[in-house]
Amino acid sequence: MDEIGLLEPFDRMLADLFSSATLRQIGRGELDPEIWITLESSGFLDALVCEESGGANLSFATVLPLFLAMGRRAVPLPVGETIVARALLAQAGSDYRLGPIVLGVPSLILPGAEHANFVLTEDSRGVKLQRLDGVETVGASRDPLSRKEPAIGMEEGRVTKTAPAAAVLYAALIVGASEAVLEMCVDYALQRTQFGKPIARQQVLQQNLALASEHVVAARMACETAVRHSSWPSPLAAASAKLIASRAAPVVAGIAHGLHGAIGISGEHDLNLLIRRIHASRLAGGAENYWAGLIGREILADPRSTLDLVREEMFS
Amino acid sequence: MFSSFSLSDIPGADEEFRSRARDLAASAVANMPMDRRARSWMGFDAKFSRRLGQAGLIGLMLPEEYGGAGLGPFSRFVIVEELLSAGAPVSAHWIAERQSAPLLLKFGTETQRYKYVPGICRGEIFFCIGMSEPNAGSDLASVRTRAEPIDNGWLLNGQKIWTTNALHSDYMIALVRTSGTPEDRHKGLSQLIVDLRLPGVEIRPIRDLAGDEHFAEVFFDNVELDTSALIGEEGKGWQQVAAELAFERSGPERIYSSLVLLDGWRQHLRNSGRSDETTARTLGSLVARFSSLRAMSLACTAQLALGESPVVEASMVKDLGTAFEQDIPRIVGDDLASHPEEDVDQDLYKTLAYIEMICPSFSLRGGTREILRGIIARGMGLR
Repeated sequence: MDEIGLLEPFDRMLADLFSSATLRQIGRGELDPEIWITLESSGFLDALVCEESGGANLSFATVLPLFLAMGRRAVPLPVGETIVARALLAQAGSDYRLGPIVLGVPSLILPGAEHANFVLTEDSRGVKLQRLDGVETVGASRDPLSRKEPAIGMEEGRVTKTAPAAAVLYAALIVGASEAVLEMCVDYALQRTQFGKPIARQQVLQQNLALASEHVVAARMACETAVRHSSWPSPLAAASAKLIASRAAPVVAGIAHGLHGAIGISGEHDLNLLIRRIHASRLAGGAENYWAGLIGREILADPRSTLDLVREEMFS
Repeated sequence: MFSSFSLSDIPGADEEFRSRARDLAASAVANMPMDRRARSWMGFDAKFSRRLGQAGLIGLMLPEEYGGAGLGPFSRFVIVEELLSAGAPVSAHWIAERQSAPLLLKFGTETQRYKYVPGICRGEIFFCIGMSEPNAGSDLASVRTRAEPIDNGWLLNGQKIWTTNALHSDYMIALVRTSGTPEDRHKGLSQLIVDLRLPGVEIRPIRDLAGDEHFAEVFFDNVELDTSALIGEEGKGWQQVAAELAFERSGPERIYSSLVLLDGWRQHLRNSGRSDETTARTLGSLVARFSSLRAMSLACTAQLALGESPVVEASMVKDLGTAFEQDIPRIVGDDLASHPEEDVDQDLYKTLAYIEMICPSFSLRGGTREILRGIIARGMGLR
């Protein structure tokens, strides 16, 4: 399936499923079960599952645009997590059609865990699923930044198959949401008039938005790098993607809020729906320093030039 | 936003230039102290440029009939990143290859193309660019240097400033006024090739804050040029300069200026046996940033390969890339100064001190940060 042929129906489905009103409902803890039924029957959840197990057998690179689209639509459910988890379960020969799954990587928060049935964990023996029923959640009913305990107990810093996939997923969610925020910013700047002219005419504002867009493009490129050369994201390139995207997050949030002024702080304005996802995806699965440390420990003793190291480890 | 801007691989045929460029760069820098290698962009070495030319590593993307190899921009990308990463002195042929030759191919006469471009590809003819004047920096349309039409040519009077390599170049491509007044702005400007050995040309080098003399003031006192000096159309200089700046600004090479320092610092970390978490994070963050910038540069090069002029995208690479280049001395300085117990090689310290002082120029040359962000803002539909 070509990428555009895949993206268009997927994005249309997301637009139908996740209107601003629905996002607010889900934020209040009210999830219509029909949403997950629609997602399940669409087949997209099996995108990364191999053909023998009944999946679409798509590459990670082909699925990246779907992750970006989920970011743009501020999807608060663990859809991407479930896509990744199903691939890993199918590889292990396990049953995978089990409803929403979150990824049990070392993490402050597991976004969407309050809507999930299972958490997938991975150790040296492989992956396993754990039911989430009865596990305490922090503020699950109201705050999408809920935290589930099963994340704790992972061996700090150990790279599994799950961790790089989660890193690229969260990075892509940041990028997608940030692209949508930038578009909102441009629209608002052209339409909002102050001092007798659209605020888009203010040079400082132009410069700030240019800077924010640079960070977002850099983060998207880092995501593309991580999925380009192998069927599964390579650890160092995935680490870079999450680092660069997490670094972009506060830049985008700060500039977007500065531009919108007080209206952006109001709960009714849609800006906060996206900004909330950006922060959540930054804090999920390790932020800047976590991944910087991982990369650094890997390469501190490496005698190759920086150019060779990056070429050989991230671009091939 | 910017969705057609996407990562691309380097075609295998272009990768094949890597080892040749690497070997030549290694031989050029073999006995060079680190702080001289750090001058790469500004290192003028005519012999090295000729060696590159003989090895067929200059002008690969220019047409074969003018001495090039008719290849795509990825070949140049590979060669450039090897030369800059090693700190080889690229300055002599750099400007001519990157913008003068493409400009002549686009707007020049057949005679001009054959006269200059093959020599550029051989690394034998060097060009400088006469744009800035004392009162025309970012605001180029206010140039005052004037060429009056005379019988069989032009009479040139005025002054250029901050002209890189003027002292060592054979020719300057100058943006000058050929009609009207500075108030006419974009109208009445033209581009002329000035042979810098002609009577009436005076070049005074300007010493920079690091003690180097790479740029200069150039004075024109009744310099007589023949008609063949004009590039393209009289009065169309502004449009031509915009196209020329697009060649300069769409180049993907604005991320490598501090790599020599970064590699020198990494060597120091290994020598000192560092393995602490703070150091790991500092290094990891820089390497991740370099990786994302290289991906952006490759995406830019892919657009060039499609025949596009990715000025907005290249401005993004340059703004973010020069910020990275400027952060390296800040971060390395903080790190080394926070480990007074370690012995720091004099070579490394001198390199740090040099880059620290010169790095503000990284976001000036080829268009300031503010100009670049203005270009990006236009690309976003804000202006």
